[in-house]
Amino acid sequence: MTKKMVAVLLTVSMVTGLMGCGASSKNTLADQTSDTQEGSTQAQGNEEYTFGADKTFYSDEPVSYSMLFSDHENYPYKEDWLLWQAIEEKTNVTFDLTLVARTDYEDKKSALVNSGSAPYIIPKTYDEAPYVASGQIVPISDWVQYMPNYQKCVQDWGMEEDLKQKLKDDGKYYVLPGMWESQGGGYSMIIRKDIFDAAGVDVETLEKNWTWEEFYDALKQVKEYTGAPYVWSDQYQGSCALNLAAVEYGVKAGRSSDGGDWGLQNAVKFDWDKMEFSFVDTSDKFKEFLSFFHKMYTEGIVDSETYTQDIDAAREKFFRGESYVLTANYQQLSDMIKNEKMQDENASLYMVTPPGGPMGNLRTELSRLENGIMISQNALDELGEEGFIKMLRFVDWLWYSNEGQTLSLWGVEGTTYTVEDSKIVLNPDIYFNGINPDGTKKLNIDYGFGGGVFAYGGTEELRASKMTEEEKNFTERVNNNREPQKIDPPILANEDETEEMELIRVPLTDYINTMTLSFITGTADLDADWDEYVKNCESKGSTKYIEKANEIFSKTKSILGY
Amino acid sequence: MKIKVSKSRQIFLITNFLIMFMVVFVTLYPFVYLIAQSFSSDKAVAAGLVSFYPIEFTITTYKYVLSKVEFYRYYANTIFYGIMGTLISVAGTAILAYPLSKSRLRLNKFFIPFCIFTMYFSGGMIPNYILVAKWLNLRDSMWSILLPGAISTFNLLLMKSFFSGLPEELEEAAAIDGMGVYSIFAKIIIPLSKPIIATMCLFYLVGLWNEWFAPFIYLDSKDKWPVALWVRQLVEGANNVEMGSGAEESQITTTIKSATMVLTSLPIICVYPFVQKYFVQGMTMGAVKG
Repeated sequence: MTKKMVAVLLTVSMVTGLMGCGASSKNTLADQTSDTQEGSTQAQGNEEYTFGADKTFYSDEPVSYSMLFSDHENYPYKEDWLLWQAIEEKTNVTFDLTLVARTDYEDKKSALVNSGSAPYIIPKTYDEAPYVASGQIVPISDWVQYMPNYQKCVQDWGMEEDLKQKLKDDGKYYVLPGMWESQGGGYSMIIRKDIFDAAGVDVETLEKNWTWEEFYDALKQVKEYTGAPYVWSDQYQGSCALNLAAVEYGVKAGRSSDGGDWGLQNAVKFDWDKMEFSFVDTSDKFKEFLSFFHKMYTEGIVDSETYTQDIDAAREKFFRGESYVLTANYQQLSDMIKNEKMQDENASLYMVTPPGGPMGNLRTELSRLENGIMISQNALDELGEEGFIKMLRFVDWLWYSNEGQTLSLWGVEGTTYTVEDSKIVLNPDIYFNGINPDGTKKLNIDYGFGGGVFAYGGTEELRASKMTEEEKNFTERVNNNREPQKIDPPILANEDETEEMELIRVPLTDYINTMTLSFITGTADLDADWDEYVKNCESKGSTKYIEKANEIFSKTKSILGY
Repeated sequence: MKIKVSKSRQIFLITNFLIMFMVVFVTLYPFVYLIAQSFSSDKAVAAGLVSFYPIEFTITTYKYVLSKVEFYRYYANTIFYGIMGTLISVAGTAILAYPLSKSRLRLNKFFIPFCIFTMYFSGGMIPNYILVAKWLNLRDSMWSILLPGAISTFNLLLMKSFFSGLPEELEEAAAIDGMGVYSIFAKIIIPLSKPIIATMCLFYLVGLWNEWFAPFIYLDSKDKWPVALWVRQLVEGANNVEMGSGAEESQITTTIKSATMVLTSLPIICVYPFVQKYFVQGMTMGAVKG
């Protein structure tokens, strides 16, 4: 009896559940198309607010928009931040925030979007793909014509190619990415310059156009001078360094054991001569790349624990002075200097330009796009088209106008910064990002400016304004000596194709990652086991994956404009 | 008088001591390490020099954590959730467990498996969210922490078996004397069930003290956060480096993290030695049916 009742109950709940799913997805689709069609005709001439390119958005009536807010543990949300006040004064807009700890941001975002209760504005989205199918995210490319500042960024900085990365198989994109006029310096190697100098390595001359082989020579010289068991013990299980080198060898590598993908991705690169994708991690270039790292490993240049140790262990060795090289970004370097992490007080730290390789001296930083903003379908449904466009124009001002970007990053002129010779100068009592190390207040903690939710993207000048002299110097070195690499086109797979390809990609790249480390550490032999490796990649579907990728590419290249 | 201990006994005692020492060491070391870190200088911790005792002793970290207003607010919230939640949960569990313990009630054959079912299967995060946040309208409400998970099936079963163990004759006698069902429950059963109630209080209190997921998923504003969620943010933040974002500041220091963890686990650690016998008893209580 009980069993029967349970069975009936289960069936009923399943059927209702299924019906619920079907109904909701149908509705949203219909809503979307009709709203979009009307959107382009109405919504003009709605003037209860001011907006425009390089014009401050101001709403005559006070409005409030709901927004998801990623709360950073280092500068936790405060209600009385000057940031909120400044935005309200300029625009008459306030936020109704859903606060989420940064560390669990994705989980909460997923719960909110998939349950249909997402706030209107969903910033800090690194990957929008999982949310597109829910029908809860507005295909924003249909609406960007209402965003004058956004359009201006795209045109002035030539962002069209970059934006193609965001397209989905319907030829639309679903996220408003942060945009920089030029790439940042990205990750590279911090070295102990005092030790390198003492060992007779003239880094500053060498780094201008050095290759990984020359970097190896330099490390070897340091090893001979110090007599240390190793000179480089790296964080991120070496995967950041592998990615930096992979770019220069024309291959793909770098995935840390915690799942952080630094560059391996799908082991595929686009061949611009043949206009097709090719599988690079079974090529001779990859073999050359592996034998280089194998050499570093066997000769004791790289610490044998590099590929397994956790981040803290690697840093500890560097701070204690047991290793002399560490892969990091410039913020980490600023932090080490500000907080005096080095045990040896005479240590001098220097970030080198990443070395080049067989493919030339390429920039390792790929894209000028940052994480971005998704707009929830709820905004369109609840605000109506006119209200929706008004909100978009506010978003446009805050995230894409120079005025909005400067406000988010530096705050209020006269209160937190001044402008001298058209350059932004932070008040001397405020610390930010290595600037004014003796400042008693902090721009992000005490005022809310310079935080990750608002302050990303902008002109080259704005980007440079938040750098210390040393960081500017590093960025200049990278800009002067490195060529930008051409970005591969995206594979515009639909839902079924994506699933099919993921089923191949995940086990295949896991295998490649494992074998990469085996070849480097010598558990697999590059001569004896190489053919076996290539054969295994084949049997795990490398060819099939490429065929599928090329098939999709030829099908969708008109969307991409090739 | 000298007691002679045989050789084999001696070996046994020494081995026993060594094994137990290892067990104690493995259990206690994380706490010792945490405390040592929290009293050390940041520089020493970053270089990995701290292991058993503080290096470059300092109390500035504690001063820093204790000077934070939010620390007290989150703590107050946790205490509120702990007390209110325990009251609600224990009351709810007792009220449900009592009728379930009566085998003469026929529908129990349906309700007991119905409850047990929830131990093994759950709706999943999103359906739960829709239920609690949208349908019950508890989004960003303190009740969303207290109500949805109020009755734990495991605790319910423990209590049910305890109630079944109480002599039926007592209730029959009370009924003959003219007591109704509710008075019997309130005046006879509850006073007899103090041991299991104490155990339940402890189980629920510890659970609520450490709870971070429900607050994380249902609450939208930070002024309702419990301290556990805050600690999680600090600890996870240190392990989770954001890749390639433009404007992030440096990591929160390990010493602050350690000091916060010490301060938040302190009350439970202090209480635990006095009540730990209930933990063990609670598990076996009611296991043997009288």
